[in-house]
Amino acid sequence: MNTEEAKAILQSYRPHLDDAKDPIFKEALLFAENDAELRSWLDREQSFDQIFAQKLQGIEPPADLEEKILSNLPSSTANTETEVFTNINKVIWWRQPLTWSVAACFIALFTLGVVLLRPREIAIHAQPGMEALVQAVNEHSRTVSKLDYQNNDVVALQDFLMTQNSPAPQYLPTKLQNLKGIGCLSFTWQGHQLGLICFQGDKIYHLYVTDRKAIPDLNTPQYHQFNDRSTATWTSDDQLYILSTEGEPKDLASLL
Amino acid sequence: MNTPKDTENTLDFSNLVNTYYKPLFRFAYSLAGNQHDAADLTQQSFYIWATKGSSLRDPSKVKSWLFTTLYREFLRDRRRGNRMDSVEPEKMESEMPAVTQDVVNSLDAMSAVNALVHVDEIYRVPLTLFYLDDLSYKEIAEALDVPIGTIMSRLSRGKSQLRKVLLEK
Repeated sequence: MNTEEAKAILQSYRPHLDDAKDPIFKEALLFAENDAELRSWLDREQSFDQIFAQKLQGIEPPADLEEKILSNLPSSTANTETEVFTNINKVIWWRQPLTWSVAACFIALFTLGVVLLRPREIAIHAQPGMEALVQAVNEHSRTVSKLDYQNNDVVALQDFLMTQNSPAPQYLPTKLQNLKGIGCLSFTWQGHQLGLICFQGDKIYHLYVTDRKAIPDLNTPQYHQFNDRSTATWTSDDQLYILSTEGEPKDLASLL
Repeated sequence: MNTPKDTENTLDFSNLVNTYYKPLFRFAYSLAGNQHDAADLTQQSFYIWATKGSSLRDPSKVKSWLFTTLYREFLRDRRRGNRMDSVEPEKMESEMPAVTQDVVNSLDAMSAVNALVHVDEIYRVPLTLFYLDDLSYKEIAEALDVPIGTIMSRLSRGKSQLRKVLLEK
């Protein structure tokens, strides 16, 4: 280690935090002990940091902010003193028992229909623009070979897409969220900017996200089958989600 | 006042808000550069926590989760507003300008945050988290999803820019 390297490390050093226990800082601090000039520089550095931190931490939020936060919550949260890790979240459609019951019936009927009729392709009953988009996404998912960024952490993939100013999924169904990430990609198709996250489960799943634009609410997923592949399409807030994989719609339904 | 440790173990939502809304607001202020947007970002972060925070399986990550969520919301808002991206400059600052005592003496909370706002966002975000003292540098790296070495270099460049801004004022 030389003086410049020690400086580069010690600029991130805050003596009052646990950072000081980190071996990388210990080594740099040890080096500084034997370098009077570096020690003096570190004193000045920490003096400035301390003052600046105090000033920044002196910023006071608006007096009514805390009250506003508490009053603007979903009603189920705002009205009760709720344990954070038990009941605080809004019940989302894919977690509702009734939704699951209805979905299970729908899937059973749908699967029966698929088995009996065995269509090569199921028509998409949606806007023409969305039909083309779903088909294009399905084709794209067959041939994905290059990703912008690879990481097993799904949150990291979401963050990466956002830093690229790409659509990124704001809400993931829990089962999908628990899968291991593979990578992500940002691309444009006929004016639609899309974000893609690939998941590794028992097989590979591709989740495409784009701005919803004029597409109406799809509060429960619509399933489509294209030969050997299937898609599930739904909306959440201002985003359209299309999940694609090799196999049948029931393979997707088990994740949603 | 609640400690973060208390919060992460058993607290109810109002305690969570009480414990973290101030540091989150300060972080938001440095990102947005104005009180109104900072308050909105802070509120939105807690709203998201209320609607999906239970998906977080590790209670010790609550603090990082809130900071990360706020930063994501900021990026999302910016994307909707078509603001410019921050681009990491190629040039590395080799020497950090010294800040005079006069400058230090004249600092107050508003001038501190106003100076931060003039630092490139890519450096400002880790630099603000560094000065707010709520996250370790490893947690800052996790929150921003960049390697620890990158955080250190961004802190270095951010500090250099910050001092230039202060000297020019």
